[in-house]
Amino acid sequence: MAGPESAFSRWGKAWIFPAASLAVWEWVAWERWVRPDFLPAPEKVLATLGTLAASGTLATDMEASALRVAFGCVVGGGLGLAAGVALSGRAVQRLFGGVFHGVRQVPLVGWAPLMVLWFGIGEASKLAFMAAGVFFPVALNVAAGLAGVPGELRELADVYGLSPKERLFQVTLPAAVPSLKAAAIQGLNMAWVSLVAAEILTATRTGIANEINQGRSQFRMDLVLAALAAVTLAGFLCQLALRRVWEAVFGKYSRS
Amino acid sequence: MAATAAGITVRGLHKIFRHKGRVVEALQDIHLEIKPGQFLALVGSSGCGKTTLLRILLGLERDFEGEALLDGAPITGPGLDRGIVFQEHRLLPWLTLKENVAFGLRGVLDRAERELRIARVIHLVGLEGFENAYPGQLSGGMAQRTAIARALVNRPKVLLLDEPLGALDALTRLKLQRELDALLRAEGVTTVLVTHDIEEAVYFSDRVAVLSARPGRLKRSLAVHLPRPRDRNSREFLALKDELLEEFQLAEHPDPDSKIEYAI
Amino acid sequence: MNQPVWGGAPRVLALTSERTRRPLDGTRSRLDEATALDAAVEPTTAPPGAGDRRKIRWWGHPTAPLWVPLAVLALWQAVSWLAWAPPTLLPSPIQVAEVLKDGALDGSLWVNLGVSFRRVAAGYLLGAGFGLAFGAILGFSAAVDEYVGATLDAFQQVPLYGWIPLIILLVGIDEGGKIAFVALGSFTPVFVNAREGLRQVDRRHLEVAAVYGYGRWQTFWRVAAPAAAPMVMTGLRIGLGYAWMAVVGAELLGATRGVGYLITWSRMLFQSDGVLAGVVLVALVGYLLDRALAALERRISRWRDAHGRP
Repeated sequence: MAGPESAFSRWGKAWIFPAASLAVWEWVAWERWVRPDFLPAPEKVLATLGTLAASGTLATDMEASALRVAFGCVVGGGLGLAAGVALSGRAVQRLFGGVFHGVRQVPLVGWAPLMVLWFGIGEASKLAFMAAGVFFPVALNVAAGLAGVPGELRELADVYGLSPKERLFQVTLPAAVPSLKAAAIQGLNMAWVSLVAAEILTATRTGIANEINQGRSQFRMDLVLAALAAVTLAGFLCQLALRRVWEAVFGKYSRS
Repeated sequence: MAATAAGITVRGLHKIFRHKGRVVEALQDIHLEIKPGQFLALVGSSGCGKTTLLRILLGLERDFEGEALLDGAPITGPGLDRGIVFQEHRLLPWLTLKENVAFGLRGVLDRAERELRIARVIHLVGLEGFENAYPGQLSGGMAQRTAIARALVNRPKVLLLDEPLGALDALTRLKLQRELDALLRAEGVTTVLVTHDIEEAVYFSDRVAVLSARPGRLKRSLAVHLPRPRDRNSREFLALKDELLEEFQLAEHPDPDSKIEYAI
Repeated sequence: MNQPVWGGAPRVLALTSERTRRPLDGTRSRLDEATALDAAVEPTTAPPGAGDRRKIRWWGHPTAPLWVPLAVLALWQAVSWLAWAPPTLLPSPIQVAEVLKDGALDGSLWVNLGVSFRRVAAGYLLGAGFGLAFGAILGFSAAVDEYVGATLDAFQQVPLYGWIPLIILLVGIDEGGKIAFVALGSFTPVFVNAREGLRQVDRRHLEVAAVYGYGRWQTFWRVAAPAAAPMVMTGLRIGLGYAWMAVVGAELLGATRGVGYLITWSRMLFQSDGVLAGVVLVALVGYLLDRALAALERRISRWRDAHGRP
């Protein structure tokens, strides 16, 4: 029942709605039924995006944002990985689980004022905030993955008398791969989410959200939309890249 | 009070499936005549279309050539006059045993009547006392008995069984075979059993029809005249079993591309 | 895109108890047989550490989970006593508790909490309502999903805080804007879980409904919805968490009342104990809301010992 033609029609169907919406949007803007600064025409948004790109502003902004995302991922992810590994042990879980969960309850927004309080209003607070954002989903997923190795596999390792190192590399890690993948994906997702949150909550001057803030103060919706589109696209591309790389490196462990 | 049974007629049935551009002939030129109250067993190896035939009789497959008639009227869709028991019990996990049976009872609105019917059928399968249990708490045999109860609660004219005991362990299967045999004889409903277990087929049925695979064709039809309840070890029983097994040792059109259908 | 991003993440750090499922007719379930067999076979070549089950470890002590939190609190208090860190940076736990106590006594805590709650309620009902509706439609009807699903997925890629300037421009920064923001925040997890929950309804159960002559509408309410309920509940619970975070976030940006306002105000006055008190409050309320819904979730999922088998 699945053939080349039906795959195309499935893909095609998904585009009908957005294409229609785009058409309606264009029409509404054309007819000026809504004020242009409320709802700019699609081509205006694209034009603005183009201007940003051409003038190099986009590149500078993206660079600043990307660096922050990288920091958040590396520091937050690294710490999260370490914490997750630690928390997969029963002893650590029992002793530190309470504190971990307690701190986890503080929602992301709660960290922002705290970070500003401790690190001032500059770059440090943003970075700390993002690291905190990435930390928790990574730690949680890693812990779940490592602790969740099915009992049967663990018994198998016992029966074959594997050394702790062999156990780790031949049983535990491969079994944990799906959770590790979830950790990476959610961590990256949080990195972008907390990036936007950090930049907007602290009214930043650099980074992509700067355009958003500027657009807001200048009442330029086209700028806001262009920046939103850019950041969304960037996040999406990162996710795509992550999935591809993961598949290439760890793909063989997911075949079950 | 036995339910009124119906007769089934199948004439010139053809059914094909398209899979990835290839055409698979699931059923080819099937002719069947089942008298009211009769028990027919369909045996064949996997992929021979016996489940497809059952689904056509159930009304879940409507795209076929030929005729499938229930008491002379064409089968156009599912209906309460036919009950089915699948291989998995397919009980709804959030409903209790009683509620699951009640789920199947349609078209009866009077509460007293409903209670009566549900209680009768639960008693029939020997599960009184367990009405408030959830499927997750039941063993395989109990769950399947509940499925049987649900199939019978509407007093269907035809009962279709799709390898109903296949998922159970051997001991439970034997036990349930005996119970089901007694139950069905008491109810007197026309039954079509699909199975790959030849012994089970001979144990239950008035007639055994053998289907070959790819294309699905009626190879052989054997009448079983032994008195019930049947003795699995009687000479006649074993002779019938042998005759049917013979059918599977010889593949009619050996296809070099196909795997061995039935190895004993 | 078949994996729900938020729903379904395993919560391993919660305490789990093994439930033994005994069939009621006295026959042995497979679980019984397996464990009986295990007990019968003595492990002669037991690997080291297999005595785990019988030895009592020092961290297995019933009060063990309290040790570290108490130690942290003690350390924290000590640090502020000894003034190793300036009070503006790290107020003592006692100070924080006092702020909370004062706020509770003079009523300011409750008033602001109430304001935040009202916003959460309005936004959550809106967002979760839409989430359920959309999720139900897209999950149950594959046809609709094919047309609209991808677009909605794309919309969810936009980080939540990115919507703020849009909302501010379109709706303004006052009540309407905040409620809109909360609604947006609660929409996504509810929608994703509702859709996934419905997609995962066992086809075989739907077939049973078809066999017994249940129409589309009835099949939805009697089979699909109950089957999807556990996952939907998880989504609702996560959505409430998001809603609470969203309301605080919106209030942090600009509000004259509410919990977020308390935090921002304290920060601007450099009252770190107020900030910390506010954060602790936010965390506490979030936790309680979560636990409340989790209890509800458990009641609804009573029938699930293992994930519903056919």
